[in-house]
Amino acid sequence: MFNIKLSRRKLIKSSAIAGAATLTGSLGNIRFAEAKPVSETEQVFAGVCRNNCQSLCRLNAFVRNGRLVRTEMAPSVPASELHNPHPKDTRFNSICLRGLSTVHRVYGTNRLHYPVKQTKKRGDMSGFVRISWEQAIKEIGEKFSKLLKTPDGGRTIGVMLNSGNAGRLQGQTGAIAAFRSIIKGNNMWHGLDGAIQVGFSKVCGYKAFYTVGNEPADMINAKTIFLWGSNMAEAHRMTWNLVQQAKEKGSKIISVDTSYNITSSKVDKLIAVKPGSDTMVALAMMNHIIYKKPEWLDKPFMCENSVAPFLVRSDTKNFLRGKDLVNGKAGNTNYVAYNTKQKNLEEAKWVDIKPGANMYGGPKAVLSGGANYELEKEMQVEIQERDASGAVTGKKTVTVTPAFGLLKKHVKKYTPEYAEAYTGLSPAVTREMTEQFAAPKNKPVSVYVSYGAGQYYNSHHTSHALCSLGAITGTYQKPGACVGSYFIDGNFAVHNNFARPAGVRVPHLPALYVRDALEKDNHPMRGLIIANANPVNCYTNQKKDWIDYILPKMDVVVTLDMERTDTTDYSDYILPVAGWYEVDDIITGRKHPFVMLQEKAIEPEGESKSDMECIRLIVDELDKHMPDLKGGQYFRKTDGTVKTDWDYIKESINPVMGLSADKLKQEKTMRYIPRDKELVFAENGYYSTPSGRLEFYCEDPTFVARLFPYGQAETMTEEAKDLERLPGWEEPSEAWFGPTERKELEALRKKYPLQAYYEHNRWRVHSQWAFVPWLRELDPEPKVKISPEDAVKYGNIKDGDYVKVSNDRGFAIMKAVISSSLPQGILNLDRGWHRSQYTTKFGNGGSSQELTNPAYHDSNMNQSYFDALVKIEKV
Amino acid sequence: MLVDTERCTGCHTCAFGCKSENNLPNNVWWNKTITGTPGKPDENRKMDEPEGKFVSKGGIVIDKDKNIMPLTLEYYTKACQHCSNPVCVEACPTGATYVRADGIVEVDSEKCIGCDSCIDACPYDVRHHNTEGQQYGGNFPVGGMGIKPHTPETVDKCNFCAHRVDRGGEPFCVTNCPAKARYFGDINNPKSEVAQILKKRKYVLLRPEAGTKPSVYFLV
Repeated sequence: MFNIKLSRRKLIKSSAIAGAATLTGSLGNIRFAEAKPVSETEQVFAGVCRNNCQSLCRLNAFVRNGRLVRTEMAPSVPASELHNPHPKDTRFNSICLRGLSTVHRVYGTNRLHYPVKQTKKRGDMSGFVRISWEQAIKEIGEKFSKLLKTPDGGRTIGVMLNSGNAGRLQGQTGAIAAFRSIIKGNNMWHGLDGAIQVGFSKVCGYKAFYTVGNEPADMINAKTIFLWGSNMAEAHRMTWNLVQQAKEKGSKIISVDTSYNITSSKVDKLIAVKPGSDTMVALAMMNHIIYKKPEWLDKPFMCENSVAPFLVRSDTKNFLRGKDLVNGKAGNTNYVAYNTKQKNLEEAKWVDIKPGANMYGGPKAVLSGGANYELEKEMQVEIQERDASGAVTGKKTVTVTPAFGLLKKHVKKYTPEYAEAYTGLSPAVTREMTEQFAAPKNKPVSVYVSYGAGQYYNSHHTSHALCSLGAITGTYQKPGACVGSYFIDGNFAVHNNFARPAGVRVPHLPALYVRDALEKDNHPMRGLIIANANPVNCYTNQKKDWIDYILPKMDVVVTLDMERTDTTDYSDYILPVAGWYEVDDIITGRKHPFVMLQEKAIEPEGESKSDMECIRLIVDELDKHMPDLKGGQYFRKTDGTVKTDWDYIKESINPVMGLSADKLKQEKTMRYIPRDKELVFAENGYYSTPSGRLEFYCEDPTFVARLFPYGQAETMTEEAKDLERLPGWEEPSEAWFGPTERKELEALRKKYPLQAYYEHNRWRVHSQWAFVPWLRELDPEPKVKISPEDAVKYGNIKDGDYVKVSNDRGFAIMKAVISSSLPQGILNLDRGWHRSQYTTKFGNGGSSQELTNPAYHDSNMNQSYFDALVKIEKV
Repeated sequence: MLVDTERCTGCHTCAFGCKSENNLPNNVWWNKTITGTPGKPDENRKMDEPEGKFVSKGGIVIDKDKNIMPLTLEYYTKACQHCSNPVCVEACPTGATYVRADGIVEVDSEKCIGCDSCIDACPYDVRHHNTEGQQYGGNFPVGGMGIKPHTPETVDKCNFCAHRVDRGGEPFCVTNCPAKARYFGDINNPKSEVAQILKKRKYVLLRPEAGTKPSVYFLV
């Protein structure tokens, strides 16, 4: 019957490698239903997985014998008196294979245990030697204080912080941000996913830079959901659950993307656009609505909540204000609209809108006449002219147009027919998707705009255009309706005032501008301190800008990290920081409506110290060299004792909605949006724009220069300004297959015919989890996906072949995967692999980050990862 | 156990969680996430590779309402099927593989002689022969409480996390599925959630022709 292979098993030599049967005692405070006391000791701590996949999954950390043994999805959010409408709210429960692999990162071979100093040339692995904390702090203090004592002061040191850790104390807005404030070091805006936010905040308010959006769970209320540039089912696992719920309820899910992915397999419709053409899609949608389907416009909403009725002067391109009108008083900033019922100009009144729960408040320009305003026609208005001092010098007649009229004129040429060559969408498809977005029968509609649409040189126009679509169709302030990134603003619940001592202003030096600043502006920056960040791995043009140019210009590079990364490899000093489960912390925001607690579950590994302690030690050392700095006070209580993490937690929690540190300690997770329904963005009608309204017309085209100034406002041309006022059309920098008049792009396309696109897959988040062995069993080496047609075309590439992907900036050796998920012309490259993980079979393996394009737009300062052309060949 | 393939996004969390909870040796996966359609013999499909061809009609690649689906991508997971007619039990010469009162097919490591008869008999390729010196992810025991040691020269497999079930809980992969795509319960109890769902939803079984009567149902 069976071919029985009889063999005696060997005696078990040791039980140490498996199971834990020898532990005794009673069970800890476990909230799992299934947990019944057994004869083992296990403690459970509340925790949060807090990289920047945005999900911030709550999980429980289990500890035996002082060591973390596993993590699990945390159970439902407990009912609390915070008016949680879902007493057992499981909607935000999530976890993924990364959250479950925490143990591997805590105890991994890649973990840093001791302070280390580079004794040879930067980047030479043999030059690293272990040093004591005392020596490390002393030497860093000497080097930094030497720079800080020069006349350039804080401008000599760049402080790089990214989204590696969302903890409010140890993460990007915590200790390292406090350091930047104390030394007045350079604010090095990272430009990561920046462009999309720029467009959002232009239209929806600068305070909502990251946080335009209803509570993600509100998507369940939508009849139609657009996922724009989002592989949500893979990359935003938690948020996808909410969309899945909407889907099961009958909502239509439409994905706008460039290729096929896991999300595509789950949606009702996948619309594939040409890479970088998203703005044109939105412009054509606006054209169709305004010219062919005006009944889809929401005129009352526009008049009440957008700048649509406000008149814009044709001469200055500014809004007409009360001070401009004949006999208008100096300083009268009132916006002006034409009331069609009263047949006269009406000045909007400034009304102070009260902040709501998790909603900003402030002055809003309010009109009294409902929807009775001229929205389209230009008209002549007699105004008084003023000189620079504000004194009236005379009168003149100017043409003024309602902002909506300008938008209408602006989108006139972008018909679905015109757009086709740019977007790749047939006019019928554009019209159909417009109907899906704007027709009343399909409303309410949620447009979840993600960063896939934000990786191009022109991406800020995309979000500007999409929000404009939302503004003219009334797709805001209602349940189930929003166009945004669906982040929740955690700053209402938790502030980081300890990290931003009042009144401190720091100089700006955006990371993308560093090379130009050093090369052209003779910028004095010579030192870097990096925490929660891996810029050498993650920033565009890795090799030529960062490794070969910027880092060699630095006198000292200090990196705080818990693991070895490309950035620690190129540092002079590496300070080992405690892991996420080795500290107390609080976490809020992103896609969660909760304040969540991280309880310290285990002691810091090796000699690692919390970020907060590392920074305090450096600051105390700097205080010795520079008594005027007085930095140590920020880490101490009034009696001089050093603050504990719990002290920071206590002072950081805003006492809104009954939140307090004590209650958090008890409940671990607290909802801070006190509603019997989901949070709706700006439901109080206030947007933190100059007018308090949705501003699809942006009066100040130097908007971005106010956020990340490096002198770009001063050199901005009129042509560039015009592109910023209304959602402008600009081509991507390189990855553009549509019509162009740029001869140099045509030449580049011939040399490098393929777009390099970088998916966000489930094996890592950015560069984190790169060295987790079990993940590498599933995803063993850097790969590039190529369409079957392109594989044949570019040298008959076969599955599993090593290929070289290259352009003028660099190259990467990767394993080819032939995949029908891609249309021709697009390569899908892995990112986040460290340089040491590329194959050396053919010599240097390069890195896919060498290929990325550092071209920045003065008006978005964005790292445009997908905006690069490459070629591919077999090795 | 029910696995809702409509909800499953192939995220591998259940497979990874199984490894983590049961402290599995390196390169051993009791539960695997497979790219493909349950019931179709396509297990050699490349991970994450859709079936079909990328075709865009004026920008439309997928339109389910119009039945335009040139590409499909499905996932399912595969571990021990805890069959009601388990051929592995039949094949086991020592009685090491047995069916518990609650229906879980379990291996008694004390009785197992590592002869691999069960591996040969099982039509699902879900059993693993532990070897001497197999490597683990960490240098100390991790995972759940009360898990089975992986005794060298014995055969191991998914046991529906019997250590959790015995404490009144559910398998790790069920409680930790972020897609809420997994259900666990007593199918013979008509009031149970699983029985209720099975009444309403279509499902497929893996290799029903093998006559094993699997206890894992894939909702489609």
